[in-house]
Amino acid sequence: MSSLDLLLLLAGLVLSLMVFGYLFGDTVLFGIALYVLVGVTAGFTTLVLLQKVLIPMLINPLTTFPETSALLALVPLLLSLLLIFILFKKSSKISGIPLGFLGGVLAAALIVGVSRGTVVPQLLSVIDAFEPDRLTTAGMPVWSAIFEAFMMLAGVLAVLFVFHHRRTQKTSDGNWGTWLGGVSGLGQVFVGITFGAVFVGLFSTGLTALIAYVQNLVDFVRLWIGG
Amino acid sequence: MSDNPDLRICPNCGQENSLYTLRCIRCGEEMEELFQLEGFDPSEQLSNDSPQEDQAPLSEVLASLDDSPLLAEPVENHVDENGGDHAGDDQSSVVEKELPDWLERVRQRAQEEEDASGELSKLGHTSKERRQVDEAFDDILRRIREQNEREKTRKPRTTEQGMVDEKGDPEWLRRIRELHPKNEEDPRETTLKGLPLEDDDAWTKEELQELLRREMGISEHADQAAEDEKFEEIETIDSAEPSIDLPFQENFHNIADDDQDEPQEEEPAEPEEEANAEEPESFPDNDPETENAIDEPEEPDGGLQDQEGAVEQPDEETAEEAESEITPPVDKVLPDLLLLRNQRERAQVLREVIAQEGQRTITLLHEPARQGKIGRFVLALMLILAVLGGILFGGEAGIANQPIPAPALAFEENLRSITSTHPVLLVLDYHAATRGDIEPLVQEILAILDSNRVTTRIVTANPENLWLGETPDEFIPGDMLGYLSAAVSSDPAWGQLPLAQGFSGDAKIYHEVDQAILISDSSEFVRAWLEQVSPWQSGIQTSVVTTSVSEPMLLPYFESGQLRGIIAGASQFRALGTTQQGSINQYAWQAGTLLMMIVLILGMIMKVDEDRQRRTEERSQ
Amino acid sequence: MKQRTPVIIAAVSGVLLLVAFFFQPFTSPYLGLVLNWAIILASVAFLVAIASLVVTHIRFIINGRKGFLFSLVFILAFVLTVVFGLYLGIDDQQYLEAIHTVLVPIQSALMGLIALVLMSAAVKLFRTRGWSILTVSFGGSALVFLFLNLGFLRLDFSEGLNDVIAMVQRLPVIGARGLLIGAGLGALLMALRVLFGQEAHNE
Repeated sequence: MSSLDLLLLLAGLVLSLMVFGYLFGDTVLFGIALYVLVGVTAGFTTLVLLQKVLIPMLINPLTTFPETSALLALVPLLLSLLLIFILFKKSSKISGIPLGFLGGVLAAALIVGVSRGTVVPQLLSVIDAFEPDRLTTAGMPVWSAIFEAFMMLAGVLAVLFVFHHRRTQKTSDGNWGTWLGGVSGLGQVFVGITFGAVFVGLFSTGLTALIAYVQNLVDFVRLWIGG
Repeated sequence: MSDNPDLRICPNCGQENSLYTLRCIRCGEEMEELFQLEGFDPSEQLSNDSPQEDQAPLSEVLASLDDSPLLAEPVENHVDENGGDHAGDDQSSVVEKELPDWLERVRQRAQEEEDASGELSKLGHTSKERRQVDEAFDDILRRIREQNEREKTRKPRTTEQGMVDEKGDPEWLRRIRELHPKNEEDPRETTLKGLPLEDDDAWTKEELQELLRREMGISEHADQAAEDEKFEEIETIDSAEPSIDLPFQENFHNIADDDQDEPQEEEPAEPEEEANAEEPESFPDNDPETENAIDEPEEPDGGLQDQEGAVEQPDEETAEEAESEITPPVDKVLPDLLLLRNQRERAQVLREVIAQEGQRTITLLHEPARQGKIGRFVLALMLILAVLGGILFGGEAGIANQPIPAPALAFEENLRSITSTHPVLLVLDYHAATRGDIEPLVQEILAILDSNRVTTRIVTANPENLWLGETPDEFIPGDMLGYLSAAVSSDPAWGQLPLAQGFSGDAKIYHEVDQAILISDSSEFVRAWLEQVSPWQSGIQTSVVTTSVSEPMLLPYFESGQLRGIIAGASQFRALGTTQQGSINQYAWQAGTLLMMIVLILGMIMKVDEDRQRRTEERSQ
Repeated sequence: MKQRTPVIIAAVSGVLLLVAFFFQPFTSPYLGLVLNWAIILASVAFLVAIASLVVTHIRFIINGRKGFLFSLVFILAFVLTVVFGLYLGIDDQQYLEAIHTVLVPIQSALMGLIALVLMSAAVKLFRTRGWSILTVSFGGSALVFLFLNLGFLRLDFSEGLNDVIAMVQRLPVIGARGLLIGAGLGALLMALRVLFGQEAHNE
């Protein structure tokens, strides 16, 4: 291993130990490690955006003036200049124009995407579970499939009920309130199951990273001991 | 009274209340000492040790009623009330002879002693007299009320915003000035101005008479005597204890009923009523008399100043005198300000908030941080030691027997089915933190694809992937917008789109691609891809390599057929059908997972134990 | 009126883009053009955010604000990264290797820290949140999935047991589907509000 590699390895080890200093509390070393992370990430991202986005997409077309692409590039140039005014308090309102344009574009993309990519397919999936082909085999009902279909429908509706915002009002009909509470409770069960799975997944990912870190540490120590 | 001078204790439940509350905030009982004025010793109001003092003014009032033409002669009535001696005299002599001894003794005793029914009934003479007094009082009130109504109808109500006139003076100030115009020739005005502030606290008879006269429009000389009587009636009745049930009292004036030593204070209430009448939104029932009556008795500390402000001109001399000589014990309100009740309440609240500064007013809800840090450190140490133990002492790590989920099996099946006819698009979007979960899988997938001689095209929109893992072939600007633009756009007639100029190679990244493998540690990225790109490139079949944390949120997309397969985390490495070992040490993995299970169960047990202890304590209490 | 201008622009641009999406085969060049403009603007916005962050930290250093040491570290790391990147080029392997050496240990350590923090959170979970439907189902689900992840036992010797395990592994789908549909509907509503100009700021 070259000295540079060793130096880089030591630097990485020191930085990772500084992060684990969080176990002793929010220490200065932990803060330094975090700010190093933020600084390097921000610097690298700045370079990438400048060299791989703005220069080829905004600056280079302008050099082909007076072609159509150059004229069209004036529009994002003007909007970008207006956007820079957001840094200045007195004239920050003018940056609302490019932000409004960006917001409108994102909203339109969101409407098309969410409806076609999530809401409709997921709802269709719930309904398609009740297809006769899936519920029967050679004319005989497949009870597990039927159970799963009903469970899915009830569960999805119950989960939607959990987050349904309804006015807190004293209902004259106590049965209705109890029924809604029961449905909401069922939804909470399914939400809890999902969150439990996510929790285990997060722990698994963290444990994998921890094992990899400890493994690297052990390998580093063995390297030093073994010469 | 509580130790805090701004608070007092409810006699019913012991709750501490503000000094000026009418009812206890806990039990709702009416508080004693309803009407307090600053500068007055509350013990005078509370003590019943000297009922005679309380009664003396009343006796004066009632005695003065003798002269009133409205009232019948008390002596004759009193005699009538006491048993009709005139009528019974003849009969009594006969009856006396036949009366038993005990009755005789009672009569003798009654004649010798005072009336045992009490001072109050005696002084009140007969109920008829009392009724007549009440009627006279009602009559006076009615006249004053009519006067106020006339004033109100004459002058339009102004809103709070419109109260300032052209000179910038508020409306209430202007009215006070009108009521008490500056007139140095008027000896009564001079008297009012020249009074030292100590005396200003006490309204003189002349001042009250003058005020009432102005209010009622009665000429000075004609009815002065009558007014004197009426003022005496008013002041004596008003100086009675609050416990006396005089329902009209609150509606009449805004001076404390227990202001016995200064009955003259009734007069300034009337112009104040008119001034307050200009502020309708301050009054809940739009009755200025009621509002004033409620207002003044409840804020006695402001009452004095209000009265001074009402009677005196907002004169600099008197204002300065007021500021210099009056020493209100609690607040320092300028004497020439008329404060409404809600304003006083807000000032009181502000005072209490300032007094609480620096004090802890709520109990600590969380445990000390130090204890939490030690616990966290101990647990972390246990996990690190468990992992270290698994690595050092676990021996050669084997592949664990975790059950392989269906999406992972589907991913492997799809991967094996990819042929070399079309390129596969690999989309990178993960971070260095999750490389341990993803990179072993990616390396294995690339090895499988290489073995099948499949062409791969690696793209990324994440700057971090430029230096992490596999070097991408293209950097896509704009993240998901770039992928969307590449999916929906085509070359225009006028040349190239800006995005095309950002590519080093072919801008058509989806050209001839029928398989896309998303390598991402974020379920949000996969979801965005399925929403933005997949609808426009429906021919591309998508599968995902992700982390364990993202898997649950992507399962619905697998169930709906939008994803061909999902392989999540290094724990599903076995799903790829490889005989090689996983990247992570399985003993360390199992030790860590087992420790987490134990900790979770321990947390439940601790909660159960805590609940049981609390229930035991509650039962023992 | 000035506050309305961005809202009107957002509504107009959004509606035009929606129409272009509907007639995508015919409007694809213009669709691509507008999306490219949005890409440029988004990148500039990101750069403006980074610039704002840098200016803020410089201000902290100049004013000697408490914790300016961290601001100094941030500025130093930022400047060194940009300077070396401009000098060597962002495609230079040595430069990328240096970035790799600095960022990978920090990020990996942070992810490992998550596992440690989750452990302490697991102890406090029931003590702070108490017993409720959500916490009980959460705890039970976590225990089951942790047990499955252990891999101590061979669970593939019985077909019936495999079906049961497969069903258990699919249970999170129900909750996730409900969450996705709910979140999707919420996002749709928000986007429609933008298009209809309902998201105006109050003055």
